[in-house]
Amino acid sequence: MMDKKKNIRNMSVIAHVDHGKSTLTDSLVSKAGIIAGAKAGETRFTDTRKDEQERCITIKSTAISMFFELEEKDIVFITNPDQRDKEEKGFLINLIDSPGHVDFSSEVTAALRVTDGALVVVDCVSGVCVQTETVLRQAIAERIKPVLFMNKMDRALLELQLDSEDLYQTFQRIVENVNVIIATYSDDDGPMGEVRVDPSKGSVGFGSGLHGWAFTLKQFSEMYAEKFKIDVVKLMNRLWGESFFNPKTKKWSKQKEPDNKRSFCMYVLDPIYKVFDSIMNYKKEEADTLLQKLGIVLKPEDKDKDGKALLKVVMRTWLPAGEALLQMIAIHLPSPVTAQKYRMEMLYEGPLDDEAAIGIKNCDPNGPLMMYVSKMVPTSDKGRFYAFGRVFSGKVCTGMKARIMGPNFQPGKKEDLYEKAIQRTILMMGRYVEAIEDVPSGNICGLVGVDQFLVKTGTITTFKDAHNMKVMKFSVSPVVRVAVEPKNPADLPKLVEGLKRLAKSDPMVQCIIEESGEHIIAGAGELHLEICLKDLEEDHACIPIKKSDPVVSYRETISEQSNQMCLSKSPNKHNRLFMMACPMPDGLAEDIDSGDVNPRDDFKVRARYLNEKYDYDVTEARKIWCFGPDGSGPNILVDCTKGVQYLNEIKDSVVAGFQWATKEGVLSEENLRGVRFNIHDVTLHADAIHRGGGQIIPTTRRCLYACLLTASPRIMEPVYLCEIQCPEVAVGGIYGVLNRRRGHVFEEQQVAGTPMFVVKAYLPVNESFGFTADLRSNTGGQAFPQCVFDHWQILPGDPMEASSRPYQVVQDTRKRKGLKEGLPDLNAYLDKL
Amino acid sequence: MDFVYSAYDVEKCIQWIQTNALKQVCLQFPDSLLPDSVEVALHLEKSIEQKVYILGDTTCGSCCVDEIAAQHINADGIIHFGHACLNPTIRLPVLYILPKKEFDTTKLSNEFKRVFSDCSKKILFFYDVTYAHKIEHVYDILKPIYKHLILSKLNCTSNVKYTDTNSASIVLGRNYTLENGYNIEDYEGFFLGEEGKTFSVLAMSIPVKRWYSFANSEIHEFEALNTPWLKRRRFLIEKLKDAKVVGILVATLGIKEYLTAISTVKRILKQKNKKSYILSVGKINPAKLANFPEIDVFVVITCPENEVFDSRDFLKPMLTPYEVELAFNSAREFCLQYFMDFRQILPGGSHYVNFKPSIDSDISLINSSVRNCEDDISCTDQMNALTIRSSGTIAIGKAGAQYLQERSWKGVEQRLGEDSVQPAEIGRTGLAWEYTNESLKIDEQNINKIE
Repeated sequence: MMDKKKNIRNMSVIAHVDHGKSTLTDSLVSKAGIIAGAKAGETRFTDTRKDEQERCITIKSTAISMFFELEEKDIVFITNPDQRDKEEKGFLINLIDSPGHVDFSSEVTAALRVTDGALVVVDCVSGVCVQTETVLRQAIAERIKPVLFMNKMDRALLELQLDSEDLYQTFQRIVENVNVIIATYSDDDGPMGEVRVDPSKGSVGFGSGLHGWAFTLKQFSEMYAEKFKIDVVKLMNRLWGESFFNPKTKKWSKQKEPDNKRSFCMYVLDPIYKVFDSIMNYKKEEADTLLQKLGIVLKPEDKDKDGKALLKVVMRTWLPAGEALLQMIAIHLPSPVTAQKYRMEMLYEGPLDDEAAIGIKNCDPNGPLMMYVSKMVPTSDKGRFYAFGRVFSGKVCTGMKARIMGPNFQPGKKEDLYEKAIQRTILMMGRYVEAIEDVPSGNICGLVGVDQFLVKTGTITTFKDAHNMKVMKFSVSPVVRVAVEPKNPADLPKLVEGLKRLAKSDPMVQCIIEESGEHIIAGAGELHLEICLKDLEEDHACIPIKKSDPVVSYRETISEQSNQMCLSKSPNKHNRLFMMACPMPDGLAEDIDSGDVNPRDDFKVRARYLNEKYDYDVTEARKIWCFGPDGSGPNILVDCTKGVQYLNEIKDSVVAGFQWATKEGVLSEENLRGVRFNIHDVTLHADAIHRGGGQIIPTTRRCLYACLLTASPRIMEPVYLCEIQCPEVAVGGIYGVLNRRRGHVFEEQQVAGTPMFVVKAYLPVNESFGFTADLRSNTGGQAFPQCVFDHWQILPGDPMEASSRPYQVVQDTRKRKGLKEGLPDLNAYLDKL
Repeated sequence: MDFVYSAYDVEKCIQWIQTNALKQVCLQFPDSLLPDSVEVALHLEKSIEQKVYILGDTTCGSCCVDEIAAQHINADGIIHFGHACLNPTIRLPVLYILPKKEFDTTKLSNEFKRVFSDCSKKILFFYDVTYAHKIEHVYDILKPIYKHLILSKLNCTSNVKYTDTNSASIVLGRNYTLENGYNIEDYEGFFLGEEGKTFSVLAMSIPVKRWYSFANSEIHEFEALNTPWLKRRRFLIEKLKDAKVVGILVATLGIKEYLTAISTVKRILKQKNKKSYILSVGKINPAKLANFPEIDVFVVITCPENEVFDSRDFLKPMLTPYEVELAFNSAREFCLQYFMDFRQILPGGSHYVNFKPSIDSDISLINSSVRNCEDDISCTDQMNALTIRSSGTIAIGKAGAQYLQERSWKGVEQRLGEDSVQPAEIGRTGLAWEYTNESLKIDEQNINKIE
């Protein structure tokens, strides 16, 4: 089946947290016969971990491969020849269920990379939420085609008791919201073609994952097609939007008139309402006639049920969710053949016409192997992982020798490149794996035996000149950090081993050792960290662990230009550096972070950009020596000298000193951010031996430190963008909590059509610990925050004043790093002529 | 004059020179004592009627005996004054004149009794060299009370005969003999002296149960193994694991077996595919080492009390031979102790472990990249660093050559025709700290620039 690449659908299920992804996925899993239909909606088959089941939250994305057959009448809806093999009715669906909580969005990113389509699930009661937007945006950016599913209709009917027109309006609004997001990040003329979702085309589903029923307009129009003698496709168009039917005159119309009714309400919602009404209100006879009318035959054992249980059975029999979902997926989501055509340029770093690129573009199983490993999945064997990913071109077989390229690999170099045999290829089946001989292009699979050579992601290829597949861009960044140490100091090696395993098992987490020697785990949020720590303690290190309070990493910056020209002399006094520091204009540091301004740009292009956007002098902007720290950070060193002899000889030494000083700032050895250093003049000894690195590197560092100290140094802290969803009554409580935590609200609006409010606020990361709990207790558990790192902001106050807050921060950091307490002395860095 | 005579034990020096019949004697003073050196030398010369030489400005550290400097004048003996680290030397006979500091012995014994109320406790007694002259007295007071008290001896010939020893098993210049049937872990350590470099090195290296020190007339317990310093070392070891080029920095030419230490480190690095260079730059300072930017980390073979391990002014990390072992020797089991004296981990030392390279691939905790795969063979330590790649271009090995390639300035560019022709100008003259033509001109320029 895997060879019929046109009949493959790789898809992920994405949504806001608690909108019912895993529950909905169950419907498909049960249709595939993997779990019993009655259990669907409760098992959450794809939540494989114990804590996932206990907390009712998905933490890791889980893949499952399923095989279905589509009926003849449905197959005709697939018109594109690339979307289906002529003779084949069966479809292989590789589904990845992803977590909805924002802390785990890195899992979503990893899932999106290996899939071509996305089932966007929206809770029709709470509507499009923050995370819906985030994941949808990511999907579009990755060129993933979405279909929409309105979940939890049972709640809308049973709890909210919305009338049918209101419900239509709700649906309509959600569809619009989703399409607005889609339109913002793509356009219909783009390579993907039309991306918008449209109920009348069948790319929007409705239903209840929990109860296991769902439909698209296609189902209903099929029911009515014969009655009305209208073509199914035409009818679908009539069943949505401003289309009204007058039962008396039997006329369709485009506007609401006194005695006509919206066709969607009349033909789609009304029957459902009637079923609900008759069963939930125990109108036995009415129900029986209805069932007969709808042609629903219940199994004998189900006949005795009543109320909700009966409702479930009836709905499930009438409108099986698996069927509707399958049709949406098979008809509307692209096959690898279709998708890879337009995704190739987004996926491949190398030239777009080399063998690998063409192999990917054509999804060619006979091309060179190109596989992207998007994450590592732990095996039952401790410390070993399956490398999970997608074969984009060629074929991966058990035992074949391949090149394994890490993210730092560069063509022609040997760094991060290993040639190894692939021990085994496997299929991931939720909780189980299945060994398989080979996997052709277009499929998702796992590999055994390459985990040692990759950290988190990588490219696997057989093509000698292949470039890397593009690395994934995450929407969140690891800003919450804790330091860990073993309770028993002798367990340190186990901790280190555990950290390395943890680093592999999660796409986002960073396990690093700080300059101070502390072992730091950095995650996207508190929940993420909590899960990581638990995994570390129980699975990876298996030792009791002590964790510190969350540590926030700060940045050092400056607020003004240096108040004097700073001179530092080299140890031999023969070389002098004259420099000044000034803050970067707003936005430049962010531009460097995002890569809009980066060290690899052509210097002329970069200079023009800097000149136009930030008003930098063009000649100076052309002479940016380097970025730092690590050669790419948000600080720059600019050569503003004129006609200095031998300057090019000391450039490397000055750059080394700059990298050093930007990595370890003067106040507390934190990274610098947003500082521009200008070299104004340099005096050098005429003899090369007296202006070597030894003289220049430490001097540069001293001079840069002096520049910082004379430019009103400041401390920057990370800030979250926090979106809180709550009912109106709770808004007051939110303001209270935010105020106490130095947060401020910048937007507050009601979600149209619901009593819910969305409050957007900035909240310093430092103040966010325990925020969720605090918020819940102050709003009676009605407010749900989602925090994502947004930007860096200056912590008000002068770190050089002993009573200020930044001073305290500096001292705490120095203490943690084992540095001398107190403040650095300018005189140690500044020399007099 | 009498003060100098007694403080420097000139009498004993004379005796030592005469009994050993030495002809060329060097006197080594730390910088702080140099002012007295002339007087001491004159005294000596007068008494023994031969010339003596004063060694100032030692190459490696004033605590170590500078044999190399002494060999410049073919000396046959050295008298070392001031604080000493007592590392064993090989070449010349040395007499240590230990400084003498006073303290209140009754206070010590009272405190001692207060802290160690249980008289059957096993205690290992260490002391700073400055208190050596009082040890006999202290021991006489304490030994009758504490049956299991063991006094450590100093590995030297000194002006305090009582504490001298010449045993083979020496750790950090100290020697002790445990009672039969007991291990070092059964003992508690006591150090008479301030908490300083000597004590912290001792405390890290000797795995007794607990450490106490006596300073300011009080005894404190000392936590030796949970210091920020030690934590930072973990980070530096990680740096070493990531390093491609390692400099072996020789900063001692006197300590016994330093050559074995160098070759051991070199061999380990070679087996781990790290390019290594052996450097000797005399006294280490940041400016000298910054001349080797292509070197990723330095391994320093030196006296354990050397201060380079504490400094943060160096561009690149400074590591000890023990840390090299920790990083690369998979046969070495993790233990909390830290062996600052490299002789402890050399063949024949108390904590020697056969080298077995770690081969498992693993992840760097600094930049999260894979390292250490067995196939990752680079031609770093071979002379054939140039290898021909199939495409016909030449690839250069990972080591220093690549660094040179990445430099923007390589030193031999001709730049023909790129620079405009300019007439020669008169350059600067005068002293470097202020050239004659410099004066205040630059200051004015600066002000203009700021405005």
